[in-house]
Amino acid sequence: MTRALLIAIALAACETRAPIWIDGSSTLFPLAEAVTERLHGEAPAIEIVASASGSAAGIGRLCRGEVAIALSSRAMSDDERGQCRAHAIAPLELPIATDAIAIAVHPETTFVTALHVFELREIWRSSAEGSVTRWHDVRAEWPDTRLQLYGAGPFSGTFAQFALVATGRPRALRGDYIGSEDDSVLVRGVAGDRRALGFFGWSVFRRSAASLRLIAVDFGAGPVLPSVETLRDGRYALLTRKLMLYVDTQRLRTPEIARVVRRFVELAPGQVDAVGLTRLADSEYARTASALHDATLSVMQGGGATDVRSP
Amino acid sequence: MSARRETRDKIVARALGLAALLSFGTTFAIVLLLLGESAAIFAKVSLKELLLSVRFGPMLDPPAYGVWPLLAGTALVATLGLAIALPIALIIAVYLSEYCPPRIRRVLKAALDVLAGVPAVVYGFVALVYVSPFLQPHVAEIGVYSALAGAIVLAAMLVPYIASLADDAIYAVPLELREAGFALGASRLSVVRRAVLPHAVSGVVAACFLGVARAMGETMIVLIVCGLEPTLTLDPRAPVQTLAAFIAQASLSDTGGTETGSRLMFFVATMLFALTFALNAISARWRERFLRRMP
Repeated sequence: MTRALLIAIALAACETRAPIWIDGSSTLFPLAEAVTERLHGEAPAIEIVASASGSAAGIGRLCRGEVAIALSSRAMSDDERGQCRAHAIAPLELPIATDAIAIAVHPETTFVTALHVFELREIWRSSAEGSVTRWHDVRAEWPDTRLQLYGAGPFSGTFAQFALVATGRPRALRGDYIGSEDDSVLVRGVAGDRRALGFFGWSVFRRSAASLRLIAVDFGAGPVLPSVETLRDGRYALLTRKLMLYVDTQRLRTPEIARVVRRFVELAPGQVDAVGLTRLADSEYARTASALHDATLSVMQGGGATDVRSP
Repeated sequence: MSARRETRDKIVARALGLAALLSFGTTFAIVLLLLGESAAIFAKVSLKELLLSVRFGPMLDPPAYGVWPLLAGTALVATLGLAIALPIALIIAVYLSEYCPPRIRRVLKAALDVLAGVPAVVYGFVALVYVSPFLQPHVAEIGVYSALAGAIVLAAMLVPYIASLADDAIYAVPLELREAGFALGASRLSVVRRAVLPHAVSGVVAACFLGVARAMGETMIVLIVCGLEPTLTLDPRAPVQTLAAFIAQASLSDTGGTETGSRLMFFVATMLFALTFALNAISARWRERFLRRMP
C-alpha cells in the first residue's frame, strides 16, 4: 500500500516536472532568461530549460518536435516551413522585440568611425577571402595592419541578416572569420584585439558597451549609429530585425506551455530594455497577444491548427 | 569435482572471450558506421572538391568543402604542442628515472598521473584567461584566439602524459648498461646521453606518437581558445579550426540537422579516426621495436 502510494506520488512529480524546452537565437536568449526567472517566481512547478543554439538550430528543433518554443532573430524561411509541415507541426509566429546589428571595434581603434555599406560588402563578400586582410585594403589611409574579423556564426539569424545586407544574399559571406553562435566569444575577441572588426546584436554591444567601440554605418544618407531613435525612425532599418517566438501551435493544448507562452508575451515589453533589446510599437504587441489568444482558443476547441503567420 | 571445475573454467573463458569480442566489435562497428555514413557524402560533394579545395565553409553560399584548412589547423596545433612539450617531458623523464631518489620518484610519478587526468576544459579556460592575455603584449599580431595559445596549453597537457610514458621506457633500460658505462669512467650525463637514451629511443618515439594522436583528437582546448576560423594557414599566431573542433562545433550548432552537414561531420570524423589510428599503429610499431631490444 505504502509502496503504491509512493509510486503514485513519484509519477505525479514526474508529470509536473516534465520540462518545457526553449531553444534558438542567442540574441533573444537573455530575454528568455529574464522571463523564465520571473515565471519561476510565479509558478515554481513549471520547469523551463532554455538554450541558445542560434535561430536556425532552434527553428530546426521546433520543426522536428524537439522543443516547444523556438527563439528566432529572423522570419522562418519557406524551406523551414516545409520541414515543419513534414513533421505535422504548425508554427505560430509571435514578434516580441526588435534589435539591430552593431558593427564594433576595439575601443582603441579610433581611426575608423564609420563604414559605408559598400565597404561592408567589400570586406565581407566571399571573394574578399584572402584578398581583403588588412585595414589598408579597405581604405588606403587606414594603417597597414591585419584586419581580424569576428561575427555571428552561420547558424544565427544575425549572420543571415547581415549577409543579406552586406552581400545581397543570405549566406554569401566569406568564411575566414572567427564566427560563433556564442556572443560572449565575439565580445571577448573584439574587446581584446586591436585589429578586430566584428558584427553582432546591438543588444550584445549594449551589455558590454564599455569594452567596445560602436561604428556608424552609412546606408547612403550619411553615417548612422544604432540607437532607440534611429531604430524607430527607420534610419538604421536595413540592419534592424524583428525578434520572434515560434510556438508549436498544437502544444498550446498543454496548459503549462500555453501559460509560459502567454506570460512570455505579456512580460516581454517590460523586460526588453533591461537586456538591451528594443520595444516594438504597442500596436504590434497587441497584435502578437491577440494572435496567441486566437490560436490558443482554436486549439483548445479542438480546431485543426494550420500554419499561422503573424499579420 | 574436477569435471565441474573444468566446465566452470570453460564458462569463464567463454565469458571473458565474449567481453574481449565486445571491444573489438565496437571498434569494428564504429569503422563501418563511419565509412558508411561518410561515403554518402560523395553523392553531394566530389572527392576532388573535398581534397583539392582550400576553402571550408559548408554553411556558406557558395558552400565550400575543402578539408585542408581543418587538416592544416590540426597539424599546426598538434605539432606545435608536441614541439613545446617534448623537450620538457624528456627532461622530466630523464630526471625521474636517472637522477631522482626512489621516494621522490614515487611522489612525482603520482603527481604526473594526476596532472595527466585534469579535464581538458580546465586547461582551455586557463588558456583563455591567462595564456592569451600573457601572449598579446609579447607577440605581434596575435589576438585573443590563436593556434599558439592552444598549443601552449595543449603542451601543458601533453607534458605529464609523454613524460610518464618516456620515463617508463627509460626506466626499463637494464641497469647493467649503466653500470658498464660507469665502469668505463663515464659521467652520469654521458651515460644517459650515450648509453641509456639511445637504448630507450624507440620507446620515447612511441610515446611521442601517442602524444600527437592525443593532441589531434583534443577538442575542448581548441574549441575554447583557437578561434574556430577555418583558414588555410601555418601561422601560429592565426586563429585556426581543427578536425575535432569542427565536429564539436557542428554538433553543438546543429549542422547535423542538414543532411550534407551530418555527412560532412562523419567524413571529418573518419579522417580524424584514420589519422589517430595511423599514429597509434606507428606508436605500437616503435614500442615493439623497443621491447625487442630489451633483454
